[in-house]
Amino acid sequence: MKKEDTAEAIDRRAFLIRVAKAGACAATAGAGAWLLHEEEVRTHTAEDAGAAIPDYSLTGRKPALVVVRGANRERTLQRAVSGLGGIETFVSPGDRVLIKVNAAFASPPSLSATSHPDLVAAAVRMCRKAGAASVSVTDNPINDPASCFALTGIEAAARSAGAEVILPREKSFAAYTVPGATLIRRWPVLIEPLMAADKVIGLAPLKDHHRSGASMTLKNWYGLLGGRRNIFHQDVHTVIKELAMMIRPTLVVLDATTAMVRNGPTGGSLSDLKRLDTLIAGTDPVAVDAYGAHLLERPITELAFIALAEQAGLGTADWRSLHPDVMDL
Amino acid sequence: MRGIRRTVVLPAPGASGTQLPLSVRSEPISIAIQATRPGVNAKAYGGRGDPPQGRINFSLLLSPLFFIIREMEPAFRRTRQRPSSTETMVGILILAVLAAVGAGVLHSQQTFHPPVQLSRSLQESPPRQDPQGEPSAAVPGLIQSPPSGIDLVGKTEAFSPETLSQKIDGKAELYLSAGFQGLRTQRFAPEGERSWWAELFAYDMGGSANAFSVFSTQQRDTGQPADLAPYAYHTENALFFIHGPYYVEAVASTASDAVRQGLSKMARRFMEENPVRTEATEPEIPSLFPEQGLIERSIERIAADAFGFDRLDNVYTARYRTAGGEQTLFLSRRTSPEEAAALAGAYIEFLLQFGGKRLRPGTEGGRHGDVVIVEILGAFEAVFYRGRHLAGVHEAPSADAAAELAERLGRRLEKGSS
Repeated sequence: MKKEDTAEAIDRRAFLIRVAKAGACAATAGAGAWLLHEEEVRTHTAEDAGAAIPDYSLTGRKPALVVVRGANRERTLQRAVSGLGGIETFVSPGDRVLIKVNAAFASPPSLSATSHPDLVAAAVRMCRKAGAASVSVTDNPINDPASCFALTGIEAAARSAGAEVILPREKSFAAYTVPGATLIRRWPVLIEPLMAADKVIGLAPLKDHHRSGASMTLKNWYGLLGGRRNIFHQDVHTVIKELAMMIRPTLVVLDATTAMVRNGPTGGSLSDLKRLDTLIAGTDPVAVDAYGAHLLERPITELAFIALAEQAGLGTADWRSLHPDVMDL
Repeated sequence: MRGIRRTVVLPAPGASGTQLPLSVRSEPISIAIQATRPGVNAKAYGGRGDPPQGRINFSLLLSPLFFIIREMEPAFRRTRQRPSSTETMVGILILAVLAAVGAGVLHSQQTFHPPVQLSRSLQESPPRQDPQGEPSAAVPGLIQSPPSGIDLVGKTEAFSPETLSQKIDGKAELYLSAGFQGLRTQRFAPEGERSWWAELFAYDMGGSANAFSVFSTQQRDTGQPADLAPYAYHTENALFFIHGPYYVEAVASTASDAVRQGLSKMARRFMEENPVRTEATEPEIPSLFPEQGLIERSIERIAADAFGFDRLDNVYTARYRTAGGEQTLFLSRRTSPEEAAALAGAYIEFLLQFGGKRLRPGTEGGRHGDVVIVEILGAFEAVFYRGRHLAGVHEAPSADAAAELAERLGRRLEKGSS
């Protein structure tokens, strides 16, 4: 037997020393991995900055919903808001108001794929008349935002009514986690205009949607997401629910004056549209969307995001329980 | 009994660095490494002389590993005898934990997890600000030479399967599931004025059958046939057609005769500048449907997952008005009669698996010739095959109605093959 093959005795002290050395090596490797961690992600978050998206809804008020039938968007909007207590109920002098429009496509207003410029202008004028310190209009179309705002007519309408149009920029986004969410976690959100607002109003057209069944006021917040948000289409109903968790607006308006009833969300043909001459305004977006489903003649069961939002306590799908005022111009 | 002795010498790259001869002797559970300082001969194992020397550069990561192994070497060498049962169990347990960790990591990688995209998303380039669009300079123009009376507005935009949703949002899945390859778009307007404008969308679907899928599923009932191509129609403000592998839309901001003429001009110019080979096979399938009772413009092609069955792809459907009510015929050309037969059987099993009841022959339908009728969820499915065509009736109001329509299609298929 060779000398090297003889078993060498090892005492407890030597063993502990060797374990400590091995542990030190492992700790060194771990420290190296920690140093290689992506610092910009770890620090560039809204949560790190102490920011949480405020709840913009009016407290102490029962949810309400008003339906107005008419062809003129400015007049139907004025009547609807009046039915909810007037714009002064929602906008106080000095408020900074953010209007979230749908400018998702570089599509003309005639195709009803985006918020109608007449409605945008009317909403801006109402807010300014109420004494708002500023009114901003925004959306994140991702593909060529400038063209989208220009060709939809939204930019010209907003500016002419006295609003600032906020086009998305990289620095306007920050990673954000919706408390309790499974999808919107550390995801780029258009934080900057939200944090600069006291009140948030959503203006959405009523549309068919290939993935979610319908695009209405809850889906409108999708335009606040950045990044490669198309991956959320894999679980579109859940992400719409989480958007509703993320944004508790002051007021939402669903424009069904000319609704896209097929081939949404882009449409393309005037024959995809149906004249409904209806506008719905309310403080419960779930109820507003449920009414929109009723107009589209879609059963609520086909629009799972409505039930999910209701189950999450974000509103009621039973719009009838709100006893809405239904008015004709 | 000694273990197997092997000497392994790491290659010498020749670069400057620590000159380090190494040898590794492996026994069943024993590993020994001895590293020496430069210039010092390695201690021979087994008296066989110095192993070959070589120059080796050690990274900071590797040296701790060798350090650990060297320090543990005496403990390993000590254990010439077989390990105890406790040591064996602990070793197995550690390996099992490592395997579970590895499986967990693999599972997590397969799971949809949006935050993984975050760092890439935040590093994306800023949104484009140019009102005219800012497509890549490398994108070839969709229209090289606009027709007279038409101005091109802005540059051609191009979209891949990865970026299609940026242009058409949630509708992207309709195209992606049908074999989408790429999209190019171009805006245009009447020359010298902007009373209206339009945009041409040319979807490369990779084949005329795929183009027919997206064409047919979006076809507007109010559309009027256009003489542009075999599959073409127009509405008040838009033109839709198939051109080889392309599905093309020309959509205008308003409706008028001038608009329609402008759309037609651009569409023809696109076809001239993008000649395609005629594919004579797939588009002929719609002509196999019986004409009696066929609802106009109701023929569609489902590229995949027809009727919720993942094996049913490339299926054409047509809606009919019959005495029994509205029904849907379906037809799919497979590669062989054997495949058609196998798929028919598989679809029947699929229906039965979800609560369908195969009707016995002679009672309320059942088996009519080789047509199998299944009652499911209050409706009736008829399934059969002729040659390499899988065919049938979907959601018929009664077994007799399903059987009658299926037999009409069956006769048509037999006539077509004779």
